[in-house]
Amino acid sequence: MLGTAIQQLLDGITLGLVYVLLAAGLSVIFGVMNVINFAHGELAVLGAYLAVALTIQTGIGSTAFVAALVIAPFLVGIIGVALERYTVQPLYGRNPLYHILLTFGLVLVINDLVYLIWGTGSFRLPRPGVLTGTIGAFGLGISSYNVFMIVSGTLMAFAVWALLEYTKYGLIIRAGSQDRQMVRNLGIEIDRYYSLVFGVGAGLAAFAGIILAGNRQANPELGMSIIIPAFVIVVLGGLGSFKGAVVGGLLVGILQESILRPWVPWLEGMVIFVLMIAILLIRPHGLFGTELAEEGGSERLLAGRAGGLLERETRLKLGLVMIGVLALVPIVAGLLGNQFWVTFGSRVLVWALFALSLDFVMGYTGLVSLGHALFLGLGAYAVVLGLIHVTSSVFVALALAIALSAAIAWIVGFLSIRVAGVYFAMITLAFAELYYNLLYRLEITGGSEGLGLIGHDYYYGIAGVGASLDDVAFFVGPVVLTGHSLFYYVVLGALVASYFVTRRMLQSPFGSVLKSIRENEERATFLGYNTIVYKRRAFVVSGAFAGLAGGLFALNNAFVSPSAAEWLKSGEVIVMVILGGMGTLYGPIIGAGAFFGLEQLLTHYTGRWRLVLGTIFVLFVIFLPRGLVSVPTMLAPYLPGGPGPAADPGQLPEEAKTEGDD
Amino acid sequence: MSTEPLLDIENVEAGYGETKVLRELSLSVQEGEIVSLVGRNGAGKTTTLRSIVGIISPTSGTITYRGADITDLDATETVQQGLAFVPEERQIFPELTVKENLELADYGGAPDVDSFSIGEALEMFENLKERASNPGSSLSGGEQQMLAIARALVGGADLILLDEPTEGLAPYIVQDVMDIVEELNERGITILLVEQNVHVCLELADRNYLIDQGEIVYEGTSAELEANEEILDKYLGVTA
Repeated sequence: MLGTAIQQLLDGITLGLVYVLLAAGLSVIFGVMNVINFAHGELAVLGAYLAVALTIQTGIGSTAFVAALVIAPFLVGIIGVALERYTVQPLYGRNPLYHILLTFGLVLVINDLVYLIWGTGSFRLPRPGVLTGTIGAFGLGISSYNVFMIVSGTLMAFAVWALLEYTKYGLIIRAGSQDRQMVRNLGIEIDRYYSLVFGVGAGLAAFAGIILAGNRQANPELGMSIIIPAFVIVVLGGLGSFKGAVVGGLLVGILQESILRPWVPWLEGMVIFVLMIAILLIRPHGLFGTELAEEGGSERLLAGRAGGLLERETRLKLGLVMIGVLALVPIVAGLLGNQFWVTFGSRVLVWALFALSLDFVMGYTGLVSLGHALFLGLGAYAVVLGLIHVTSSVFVALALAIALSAAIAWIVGFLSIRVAGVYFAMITLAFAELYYNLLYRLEITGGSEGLGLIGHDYYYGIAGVGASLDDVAFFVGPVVLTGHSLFYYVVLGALVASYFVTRRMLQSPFGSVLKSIRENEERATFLGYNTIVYKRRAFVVSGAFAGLAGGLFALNNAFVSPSAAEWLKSGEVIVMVILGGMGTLYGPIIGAGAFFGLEQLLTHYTGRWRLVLGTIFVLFVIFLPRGLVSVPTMLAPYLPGGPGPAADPGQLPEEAKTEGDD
Repeated sequence: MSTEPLLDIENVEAGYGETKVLRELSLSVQEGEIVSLVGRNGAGKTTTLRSIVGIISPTSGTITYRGADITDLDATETVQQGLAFVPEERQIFPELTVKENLELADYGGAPDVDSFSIGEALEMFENLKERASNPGSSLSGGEQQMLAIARALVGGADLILLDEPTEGLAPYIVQDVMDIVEELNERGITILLVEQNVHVCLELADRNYLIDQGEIVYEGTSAELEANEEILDKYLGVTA
């Protein structure tokens, strides 16, 4: 009994030390540069794969193992330096949220690169013979690899601590994480140290990834699964604090491996998010962090600019043409006998609605929600559970989805909107992850299996009046519109209606306040508006529409699983909004079209389309942060009467720029 | 004054975003002087210092230091030229020890200017010596001010820009700070002092500039300013 407990404690410390190494880099990078590096987990995975490649190249043995342990982190460190110099650096001086967006793009790129080079299989780092046995101590058999991990992890953490504490670089870095401008005022070019910090952080992550890969099966998804706990630790310990990373890392490691997994497995994966939310609410700067001088936080997010180029009337006409074209999709697909475009179109429109909902809060109030998949997932499960247990009317189920998402959005908003910027992004992420983990645990949600609607009858209508889409058919010439084709129109109708509702809201006094918050929140406060209340309302509206999107998402698949609420979905929808151009209601719709259009185009050539998408997204964040909608405005002065910039169907509205002969 | 000024500011305009704070501001500081820039809250005193150091860049006008144009240099570069900036609120690093704060200044600063060693600086400030291994956050306001000045000395400076060094300090500490400023000046360091407290300026400064709404409205020696009750009353609301 005691033996098991000690064994579990050692497991906890082992994992904790991996977390410490990951979180230390993440935290210091944030402290010094104000960059939240989502790609940190991918750098760890990259390290693990490089180490495997190296040991296989050089033969499996102690020397090869040690060589890999030294060379792979070094290589990843160099990659880190390059990433900082060529992608992170151009963004200094912009709102720090752009770094979140950038590094999310890097996640897509690095993750797909790993898949591309090393395939999808899982592996375990070959360990030298010395580290495969067990060591007898206190009457226990302790795995010698665990001992190795604890020793090497501790040594590495000490090395970092000594570097920070006793070297010139360390002193400058510590000072920089307290007050960057004052370091500059002392005549020190702190910017020169940024690449170094990023590189060392990347190398540490790689080291952590390598030793972890010798302990358990690793696969390319490892990065996605370790980055979230690493964030929890950084928030827990305090953004920018090395001490916090050490304490937080060990705490979370022991909590997960030594307490929750063996004793209360039901809560595993949830407790840390509750902890993260609590910390963010009670002490946003964490256990050991200092309250940060809000440097650079005031730079605004860059909204899309397309207004002014076209007459209001022209734009309205274009919009109507656009709706007309979209309405023709099922008919044309029917004529061609290819139903693919109908299902594809439904998917794009659902995501367009989801992106629109996010933009309402991100583009108009500057609140970047990193957990918007929470509402997609809420809406999706509400509809499915509603149709299984409560009602057979789809409309009632959708209303439930909207109401539930709005209610949860109010609660999340009530708790989170007090914290600003990066902290808000983190807390929304925590809520979404909490829900995501809950979905796995609950009986009623079907756990990881999810829930299907097959075998359950439901109809489109209310109070018993209505019909199943499969039972209705419209005949348009030779084309029969039924089932999926009709569902397409349901989604299109929902999107168009949502567009006009949100547009109307933005034209109301409520919308004016939102826009003034986006322009300058402080001044809006001076005018006597309680901006927090307005932001919360916007968040509730956003949550409601995201819930509707989630409901339609589930109906489209006739199935729902926890992946509806995974953080990747939250990231993807942000990608769409940025691609299209935030702060315009049609931008996100165009963005969703571009996203899936690109996916469709690329999957013809490569299964690893995220690599290309991620690269495009990274380029957008660096060079075109205002999104596709700003392209015509940018090109207008150079290309009088020129053709539209791209042949993307989602970009139809831009074509009319040929009229703007100016 | 026929010699070339150490620091010369000519027709500088600067501000934040669309808000213009300084309008056609000109002033000069000769080597070895203590010059004060005195004015009410919001008159543009701190903005003047921030423009000189290069934390913000002027939209027009020129700033020269030892005859070289430093208008477009950033803070790091101007400090490396031998200007040291002691900001309002001191901005010492709260989590670094006193000694570390000074070591950091030693890494930075002006390479070509004679500077104090950390030991010399600690000798000069007795209180800091006792607290060398305490974190910056444990210091009193006066001690923080001393540390901020010591930092400038360790970095090496021919000209120190002091932003409201006596703000928020108890009267007897104010006197300590004033003694130190005089001592530094005797050692050959030129001082540009920004103050709201005209009494500090009158006692310390050789010459005073009075700033109001981003413009210099008066220039004179301390004796002249002290005698000019009209100006003192109009711009500072005090009678000396």
